[in-house]
This record gives sequence, structure tokens and C-alpha cells, in this order.
Amino acid sequence: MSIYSLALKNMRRNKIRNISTVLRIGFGVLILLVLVGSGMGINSYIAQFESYSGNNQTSVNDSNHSLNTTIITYINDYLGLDLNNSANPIFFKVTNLLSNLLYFVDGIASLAFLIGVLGVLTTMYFNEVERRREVGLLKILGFNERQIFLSLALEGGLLGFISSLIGISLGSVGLYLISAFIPIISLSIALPWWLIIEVIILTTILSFASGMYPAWLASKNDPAMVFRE
Amino acid sequence: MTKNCILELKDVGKTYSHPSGQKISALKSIDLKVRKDSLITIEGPSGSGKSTLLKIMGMLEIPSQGSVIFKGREVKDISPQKRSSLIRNEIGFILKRDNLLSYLNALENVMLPMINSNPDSAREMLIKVGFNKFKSCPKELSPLELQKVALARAMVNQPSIILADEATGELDKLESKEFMELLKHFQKEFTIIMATDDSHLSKYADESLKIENGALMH
Repeated sequence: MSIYSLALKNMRRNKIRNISTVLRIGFGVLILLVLVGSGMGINSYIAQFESYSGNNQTSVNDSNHSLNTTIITYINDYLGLDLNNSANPIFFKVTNLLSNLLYFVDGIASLAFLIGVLGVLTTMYFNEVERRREVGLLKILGFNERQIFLSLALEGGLLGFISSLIGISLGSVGLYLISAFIPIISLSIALPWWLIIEVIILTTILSFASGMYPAWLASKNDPAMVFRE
Repeated sequence: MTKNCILELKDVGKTYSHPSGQKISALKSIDLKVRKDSLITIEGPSGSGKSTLLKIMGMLEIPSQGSVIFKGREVKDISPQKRSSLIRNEIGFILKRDNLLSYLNALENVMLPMINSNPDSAREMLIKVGFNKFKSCPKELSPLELQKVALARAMVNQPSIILADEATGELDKLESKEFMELLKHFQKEFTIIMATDDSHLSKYADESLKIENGALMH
């Protein structure tokens, strides 16, 4: 049996633990997508805000339904300000506030994502402790250390890959709901294709890397232990 | 090494270090020649060194002294990487219990050591040992069925030697008899070495060895 096939079949083991890991990472991905997605909306707002704040009143009228217009209209209506004028001192304060908010949101998103992905480390460590005999069994069947290491690390990567798909699906629904209830961002602004691909690659690579140390520990197990009672 | 001999142990000894610093001698100066297509039982009480001897014969451990020659090659000179490959192709193991991976079905367990996973060969091997519940999980099988699957897996790569460590230890008398008859049947194709504490099994063997305190009593 190939190590890839073994890694895939290993997922059947400890289903509850694997599902909880997948959901934990998936939740991290979801938070990342929703917050970065929203953050990108804010970022887009700041960029566009700065571009037209001088005297480009026409573009505001043209993008009546865009995020920036909505926010400007919202602030102007409720605070009685004229933020379309860069001479207005509050303009810079609002821009700074939004920039800081963007960093804060991105920080929270990265933290949630990292906590989720590091879940692979604990899951794979528990797997390693429980699987010592199984690893020994694989060794007496002729699997070498490199193959065992690769199959276990791949299992971590697979957990991350599945989690990223689940997180992206839930994140898309989440962003859709946000955009439906708060019509300040559209889904196309908040969830570009490159973000989806980056999240899948990043989650899979980080999960694979997190699973490497427990996999290395497991691969060093003594095969002779399977003879012990 | 004679032409008919596939495994030879010359003055093999194994010493373990206890955490307290004390040296424990598990095997003492073992000399043994294993002929092709023979069924050998190694009898001895628990702690006599049977399993250690099997581990050394199976290339899982390197002896502290002496030499193990497998098909004319000194085992300690073979790199760990090549040894793993040699174990996969030349040696089949059957343990007392927990031989199978619980999350794989019987057929997948048999396919586990195969380099080119071929379900037909695995199925054929299971039929040969009289087992046909291919998709059953280990928890659904009786102790005898579990050992039959383990035997099929041990044979699937057509190894030279099958090493069985108390393979009938979890079976009742009737089941033991059936399993030993099965081993006897396959003796024409494989060399089988079985460690056991059951002296009744020696009647199935071509050669029955006794081991006590790490020393073979011929």
C-alpha cells in the first residue's frame, strides 16, 4: 500500500478527533476569511477614499452602491460631516482610524487562523502517542522511517486541506450573509479568488509543517515493541 | 552456509541495559541453521528469550554478539533502509494479538505490505487461508479469523520466512489445531518459525527447539 493511500485511510481513525480538528481549523479559516474579507473592504474603502477625496465628486456618484460611498454617506448623514473634502481635519482622523481598524482586524484573523492550524500539532501528537504500536506494526511490515514520517505528516496536511475547504465554504456563506444584512460590501469585493487559493495553500502547508514533529517522533518508534504484551 | 540453509545464527547473544545500569542477557551464544521449507517451533516459558530470538531472526534487532546470515548476507552490514525493504519482501510476521490495523478492513490489511497494491492477489491469498469476509473490520472477526488474515498478510509478498510469535496464544484448542494445520499446509511454500509456550504444538514441527534463560537446548 502506498504511503499516500495509507495517509488517506489513516483519516478514518479517531474520526471524532479528526472532525473536531477539521472544524477547529475550519473555524480559524472562516474567521480569517470573514475578517480579512471585511478588512479588504475597509482597505478598498481607504484606497478609493483617498483617490477621490480631492475633487472627484463624479466617481462618488458613479459608484453609488460601492462600499466607500455607502460608508461616506453613512458618516455624512449621521454625523453631519463633509468627509468628501480632504481639507476637513476629521478626514485624516477617520482614515487613520480605519487603517488601524484594518490592522486590528487582520491581527485577530491571523491569530484565529494560527490557533486553528496549531490544533493539528496537538491532534498529531495525540495520534503519535496512541499509534506507537501501529507504527511498530508498519515497521515489521517493511515500512521505513521516511515512509512512516511522510504518511503521518501528509495526514496533517490533509487535515489542513479539508479544513480549508470547509472553512472557505462556511466563510463564503458567512460573507454572503454579512453582505445581505449589511449592504456595505459585496461578495466580489470581500472574497477574491486569490484569497481562496492562498488560504488553501497556507492552511495545507502550515498543517503539514505542524504535523512534522509528531510524525518524526512516531517514525523513531522501536518496531520490536510490537512483540511486547 | 549450505545451499538449503536460508538463515544462520552464529554465536548470537543479546544483552539489554536496564535503566538501573544492570546488564540483562536475553540470549546466550545461539547457533542455529534454518533449512528452507521447514516448520520449526521454539518452545519456552515466558521471558526465556523466544521473542528476542524472533526479533533477531526478523532483522528487527541487531545482536550484541555473533552474526546473523540471511541468504548469505551478514544482516548487520545491511543499511536500515535496505533492511526495511528486505523485511517487506523476505519476512512475514504473525503476532499473538493486534496484528491488524483497526481502521482497515481485512482486504486492506492484507494489501498493507504490498508494494503494488493488487486487491486480486490479496483476495486470492485470503481465499487460500479459508477466509472470505474481505470487507469485514478486525473488530467483527473471531480470534481465528484474525490470525488467518494475519497469515494471509504475512504470505502476500511471497516471503522466504514467516516468523510467528505465539500465534496461537489467543486461540482455543480446536482453533489452534486448525491454525497449525494451515501453517503445516503452507510449509511447502514458506519456511515457518514459530515461538510458543505450548509444548503440544511440537508435533506439527519438523524441528522443535527448546529455549531456557536465553540458551537453546537442542
